[in-house]
Amino acid sequence: MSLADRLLVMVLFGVVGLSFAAFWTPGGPATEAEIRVGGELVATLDLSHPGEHHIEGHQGISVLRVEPGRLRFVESPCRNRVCIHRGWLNTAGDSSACLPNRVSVSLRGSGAGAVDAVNH
Amino acid sequence: MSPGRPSLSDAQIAGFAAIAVLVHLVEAGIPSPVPGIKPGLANVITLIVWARWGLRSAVWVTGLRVLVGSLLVGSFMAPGFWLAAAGASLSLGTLALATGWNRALPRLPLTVVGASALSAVAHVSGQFLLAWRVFVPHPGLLHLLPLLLAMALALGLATGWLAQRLLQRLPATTADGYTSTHE
Repeated sequence: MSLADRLLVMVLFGVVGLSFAAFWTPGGPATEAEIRVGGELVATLDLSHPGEHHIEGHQGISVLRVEPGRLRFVESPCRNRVCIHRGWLNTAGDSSACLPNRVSVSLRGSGAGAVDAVNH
Repeated sequence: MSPGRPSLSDAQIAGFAAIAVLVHLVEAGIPSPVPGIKPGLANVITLIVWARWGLRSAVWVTGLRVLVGSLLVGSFMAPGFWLAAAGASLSLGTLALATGWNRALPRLPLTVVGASALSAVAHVSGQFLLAWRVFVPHPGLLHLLPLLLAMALALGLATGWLAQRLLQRLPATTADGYTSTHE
């Protein structure tokens, strides 16, 4: 790489960085959560109403805690507790699931920045 | 980058285009782990021709590659063809800029690596503009742009490096601009 190459590549890195700054927006805040058991929608929770929800799954009860704008699994009859370790979900498009209990949660938002799904 | 450098004959251009089409076809047959992102190895041929035989030959090789490649894959006149053509046009445009730069500033030359990175970013930008303005005019598509540009820069540097390695191994240019064991 020559000096000109290096300068050019630095400029290009700058352009890519600017494009991230301009267009890379994380999902907006979540307003509601869709709860599914075995793929069937069983409830839609409004995240502005705090509380605990007991969801009957295939192996037992999964407990979801809702706080303003966020939600998490707090109890689930599974072994690995992946759903609980996922922690609080607060962004539109976020999701978590207790696979053994077949309970899944996906957050929805509205307005600018709302996305349909987020993969990690 | 001397103006008097010999360019390729028509038969040699056809030969390089055939290699590029082959690389293009092989690459099209390998599924990409991420849809929409592929290394663009056929561009290595364009870069080699550009670096050694100049812009005019590179334009011909790339144009033939896009045309023949699309006929063989079956995407001629389909969106995929227009995307490839838009990408190729913009990336050739930046190679023209690089040629101009090297003529204007021979003391500060761009090598094939820098030209590759620039043309890869231009390629993706051209495809993206066409896809966004014509095929999928949805604002959500803009969120993909940073990722596509970052991948283009990384893969452009990789293919540029590959082209540079191949150029080092390619026999030195003779007076008629091309050395072949068959001639």
